Amino acid sequence: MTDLDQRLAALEARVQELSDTLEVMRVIASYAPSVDGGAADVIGRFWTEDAVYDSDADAPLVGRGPMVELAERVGGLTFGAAHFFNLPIVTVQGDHAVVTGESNTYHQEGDRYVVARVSSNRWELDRVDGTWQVRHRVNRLLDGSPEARELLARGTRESLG
Amino acid sequence: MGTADDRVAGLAARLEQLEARLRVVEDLAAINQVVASYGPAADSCDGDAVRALWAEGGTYELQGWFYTSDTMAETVTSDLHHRYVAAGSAHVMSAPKITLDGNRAVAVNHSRVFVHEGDRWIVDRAAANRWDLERTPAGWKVRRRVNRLLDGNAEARSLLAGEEPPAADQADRDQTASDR
Repeated sequence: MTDLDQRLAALEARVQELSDTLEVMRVIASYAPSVDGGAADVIGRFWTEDAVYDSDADAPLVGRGPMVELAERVGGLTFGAAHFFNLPIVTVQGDHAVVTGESNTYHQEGDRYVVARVSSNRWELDRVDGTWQVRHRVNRLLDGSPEARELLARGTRESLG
Repeated sequence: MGTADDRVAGLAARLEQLEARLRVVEDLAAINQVVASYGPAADSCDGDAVRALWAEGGTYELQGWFYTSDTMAETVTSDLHHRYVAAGSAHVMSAPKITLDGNRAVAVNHSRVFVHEGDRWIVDRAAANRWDLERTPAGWKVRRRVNRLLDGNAEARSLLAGEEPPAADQADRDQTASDR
């Protein structure tokens, strides 16, 4: 049975890696709909207790309280807003994961929508009690700033190995 | 109930099926990552990273521009690309429709380029893409990417419909980055 045991163990490891990748993508994909839908309670669980959200729109937010306040603010906007997170690069290593990608926000303006923000993002996640949570997010406007580009460069390099 | 040997043989056969099914899902995930990596590589002007996504001898065919794996790094050094990146740009991919065929695969998707302009971003390009990929010792790589602007032309639509575009002719191949 040794051969079967080894093959099973190899399968289990490959399934673990793949399911981690999909679970991390699911967590990241949940952020924008939760924010636009005003699901502030969900947002609390999305972040770790000591999470940091470092965006050039605000001073860095630390901890779940400010994250929930941000989600409540976005959920209460009186015009249409849609946060899109585009197809990301996902790198999982054990209990840590990095997601790199570009996001854009549409704002309603009269009878149409305009692209109000386009940003680069780096999300760092930890597996906490078996659940993936975001520990750190950096968001920088893609307005020609080198810092926004460096976020993308770093994620690309890490993923290519 | 068969013999113990029969049971082992049965388990081995089921394992083999599982391994094959898992390989398909791994392939889909890996190809998804190749497509997802293009934008961040291009928008951070990392010519080596863009090149690393392509197979040796692979091509990237845009209207008016033709790159091979040897010249792929020039995609991020062109004047147009520099204007994009200096203003602030995002090359963004939609989720690809992937069709696997052993060591080959085809992915079809939409791409957009957002460019910063004043206090907002505009969608400078919206295009159809067909990616022909191959499994190499270094993982899945792009053998051919064809990109066509969605400007009403039939070629862009046929890419989305899943048709394989005709091979580039010599005139296409002569359109290198230096022509711009």
